[in-house]
Amino acid sequence: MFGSVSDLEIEAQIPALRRFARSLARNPDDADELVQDTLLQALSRWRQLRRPESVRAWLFQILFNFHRTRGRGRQRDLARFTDEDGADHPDPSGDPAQGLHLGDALSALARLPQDQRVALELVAMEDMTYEEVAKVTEVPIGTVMSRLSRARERLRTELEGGNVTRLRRLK
Amino acid sequence: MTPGSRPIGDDDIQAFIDGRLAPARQREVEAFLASEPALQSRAEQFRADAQALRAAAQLRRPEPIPASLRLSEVRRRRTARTAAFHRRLAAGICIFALGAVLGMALPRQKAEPPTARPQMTDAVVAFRAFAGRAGDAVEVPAAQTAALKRMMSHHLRQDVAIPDLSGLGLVFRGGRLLASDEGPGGMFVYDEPAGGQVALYVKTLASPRKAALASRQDGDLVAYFWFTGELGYAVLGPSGAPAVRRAAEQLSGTP
Repeated sequence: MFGSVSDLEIEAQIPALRRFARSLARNPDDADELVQDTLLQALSRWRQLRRPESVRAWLFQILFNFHRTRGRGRQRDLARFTDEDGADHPDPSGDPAQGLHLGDALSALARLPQDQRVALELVAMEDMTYEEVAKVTEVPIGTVMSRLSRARERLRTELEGGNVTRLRRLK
Repeated sequence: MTPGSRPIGDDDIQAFIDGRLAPARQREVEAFLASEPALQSRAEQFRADAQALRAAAQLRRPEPIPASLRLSEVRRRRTARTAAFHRRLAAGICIFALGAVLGMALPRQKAEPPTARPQMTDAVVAFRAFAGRAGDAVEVPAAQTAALKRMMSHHLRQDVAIPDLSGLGLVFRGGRLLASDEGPGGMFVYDEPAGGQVALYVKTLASPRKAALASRQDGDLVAYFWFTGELGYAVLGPSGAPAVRRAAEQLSGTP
């Protein structure tokens, strides 16, 4: 059980865990607290891990569970992505049009309902398999597929609605 | 679409967008989309959105992991937490053990006073309650000696004789049934020449024991007592009356 999963394998997931946590939590401090609790839980639950190849999904699942149990009723912070990535980190490619589009995609993503957003984020940005997403969010794979479908439709609507730029100016 | 293959579903479209179809299925979906231009452009758009999201994610500079999230640090904190838990657990066990020891020790201390209680206290109490007052002392008067003897023997479940102590100048007045510390008991009351009362107290014993004549002083009272195995006896009377001790010696067979 333990021998097959090294500290290194876990630590390799920490950046991804922090990304995921930041998309869920209200601020970076809360996010890192989520990650810390996740690691703590992971260390005390080593034995529950059957298949070493799902280390990432297992860690994400713990984190998402923590978020759900403690974050109920918390308002999503619409600006968290643009705060982190839009204004502070200009597009290094130097193409402002492209940079704007990427920022728009992120802020549109942030406006999706959580279930849809998490599904799309894990698939498109974290490159998780549908099975892994089903495990992380603890729903059947069919639910993952339909959330994904609705997420894409909704994202498109947000992007085509043209209110993205206005929102960004307001913040 | 080759006949006999599964119809294209939304999950196929999603997997197509994410580029996760097996090559054969990929071709089938592509063929399907080719015949549905609106759907195709939608799917291409979705694919571009996903790429934009991925690109945006990759734009974020990798931040250094804070020390608090290092596994070694998390593990150290967990160990500290476990140690703290164990300390609290140990403290709890100590308190429990202390309570257990006290719980066992204290009742034992409490149990001691009854054993330390002077013997035949019940006799002294009974004598003070009844014999001291001439009128109340006797339930069954001397005139009904036979009835008293019968009652007493029945009450104590022993054959009890009413001793004749007239040789010591004691005049039998009567007797009464009592409840003692250890079971059924009774008392025979005699008048002594000085005007006081002397009583022979007898009780059944909860735990049979034998003991030679002993005495105790209680205020102006003296009690001589002995145990014969089945019964406990006491002769009680005023400290100054010599008949008390002589009666006790005579009845207990002590020279």
